[in-house]
Amino acid sequence: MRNRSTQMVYDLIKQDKRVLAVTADNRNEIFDEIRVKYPKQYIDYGIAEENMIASCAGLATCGYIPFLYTITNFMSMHAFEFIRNDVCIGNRNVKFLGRSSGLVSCSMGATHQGTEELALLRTLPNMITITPATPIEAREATRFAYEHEGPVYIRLEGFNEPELFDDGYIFDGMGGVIRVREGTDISIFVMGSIINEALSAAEELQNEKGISVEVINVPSVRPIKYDQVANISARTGNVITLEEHSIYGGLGTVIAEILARHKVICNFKMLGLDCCATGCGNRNDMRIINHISKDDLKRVCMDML
Amino acid sequence: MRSPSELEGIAREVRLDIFRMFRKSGTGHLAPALSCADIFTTLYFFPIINWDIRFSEKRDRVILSKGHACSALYAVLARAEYFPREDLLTFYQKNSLLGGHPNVNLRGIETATGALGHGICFATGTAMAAKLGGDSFRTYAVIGDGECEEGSVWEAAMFAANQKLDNLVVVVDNNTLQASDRVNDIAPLGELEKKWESFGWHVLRTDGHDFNRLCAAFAEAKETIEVPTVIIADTVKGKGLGIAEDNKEWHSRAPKGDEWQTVLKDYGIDIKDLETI
Repeated sequence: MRNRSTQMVYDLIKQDKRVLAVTADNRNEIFDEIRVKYPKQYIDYGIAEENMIASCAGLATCGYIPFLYTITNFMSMHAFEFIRNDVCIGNRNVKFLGRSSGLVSCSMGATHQGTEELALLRTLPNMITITPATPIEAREATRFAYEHEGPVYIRLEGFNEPELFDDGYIFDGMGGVIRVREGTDISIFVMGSIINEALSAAEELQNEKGISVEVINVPSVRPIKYDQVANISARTGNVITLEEHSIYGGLGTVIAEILARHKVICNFKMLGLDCCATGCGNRNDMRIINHISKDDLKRVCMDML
Repeated sequence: MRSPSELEGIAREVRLDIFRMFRKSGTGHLAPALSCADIFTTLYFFPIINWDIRFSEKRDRVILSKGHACSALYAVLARAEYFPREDLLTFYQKNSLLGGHPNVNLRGIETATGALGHGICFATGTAMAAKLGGDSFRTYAVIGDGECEEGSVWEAAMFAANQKLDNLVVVVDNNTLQASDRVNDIAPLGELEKKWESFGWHVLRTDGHDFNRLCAAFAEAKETIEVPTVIIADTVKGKGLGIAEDNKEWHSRAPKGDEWQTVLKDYGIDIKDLETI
């Protein structure tokens, strides 16, 4: 999904001189091409995220639309106050493409795993936070970010995530959730490409146990359509959340807030990271080590009924 | 172009407006504002900025990075007709746009500052925008010497030089004091001129209360090409209020009780002059 998002930035740059591709020493092949072919719309700030963010706020006040692409932690945590003060308080038109979000960095260690940033970013004024589940959703989220006036954060994972949507997919910037599998016994709300674990778990639970599980993609924790989430939850009465993010302040927290706000009485369980992710291994290993694998999800589903 | 003596007269009025604000609020950062009042007076009333288009999109940008000194900027902005002077008496009051740090919704304020090390970074963005768009507007950022302890200041310094932002001027309000003590006693900056020079900046040093020299420094900055300019302005924190001058106790306070008598005496005015505008 990284390349689909940055390719969209490239496509926008070709059409609109106000669009800038910005990084802090974190190129990919598409940004490399922009650098060569559209040097006036490409800025590398070097390893200096604080200056990058406030400087882009300044650029935005003069009509530019900067798309900042770098490792998410280095933007959203290292330079959090710059996002808050310089971008969000003034509702500046700056877009953040946070790569390596979730557990995609695998063995790179805890410093590189973006697992808490939504808990921070969703608190900021004017900020929209998007977690695409697939490459096409990432592409369309990036298009939405361009069309929306104000700060947008897009949580980008890695490469070659399975596709669930067709090419005509239109991103709902108003925070709608999307049912990607029908079911009647349990509702699983998921953000990010880990939705594929949920789909596999649902399929196996149907085949092995006759349990009917619906899977709901949540592309945005802010905004999010409260009524839609509440109605889905009330219908099955069994709600599970799954995320490659800390359960403190991420999707699970957001859904819990909605259930409380709408007085939905239901069974509820959050599956996510208990603070920073631990361990070393490939992505599947990391999900197993951190208890958010397909099998963990199946176990929780069976325990709930 | 105004003469140094005319600017001195305006700066006196600016300081009186600052005192009026503090007389009403009873709180705020008085000494840091008095320190840079002459710098803002020069920028707006010599004037250094492009006065005639100061409300347009192509205006010169003035950014107070050391946001706690905002009362000086408010006083100057009001006098420059950004908002009515009467509004100064709402400083710190309920529902006012004139709070203790700059509010982006107030006319003349480019960005919300106060967390240090931000405004100078924002300034590199507006300077960069002018370069990208082929525009001639310039950006002026006023930072504190204590603020130079922030790492982001040097991120901005490196970037501005790399990008050849010769339309950017940073003024260091070099009053040698920070919130709780001497800069040299907390985190010495070493040789500040050499630091900026080594980052690739054109470095000027001046007395930050001498209008002749301030104007000359800004004029030289305008003539400087290919590199950004930093003006290290040696200033006195609390300048214009004897009991506060170069006194570390005055970073974040207003005169109290009999201390107001010293203001009246220093300026030859009556207390009623400070309570009306």
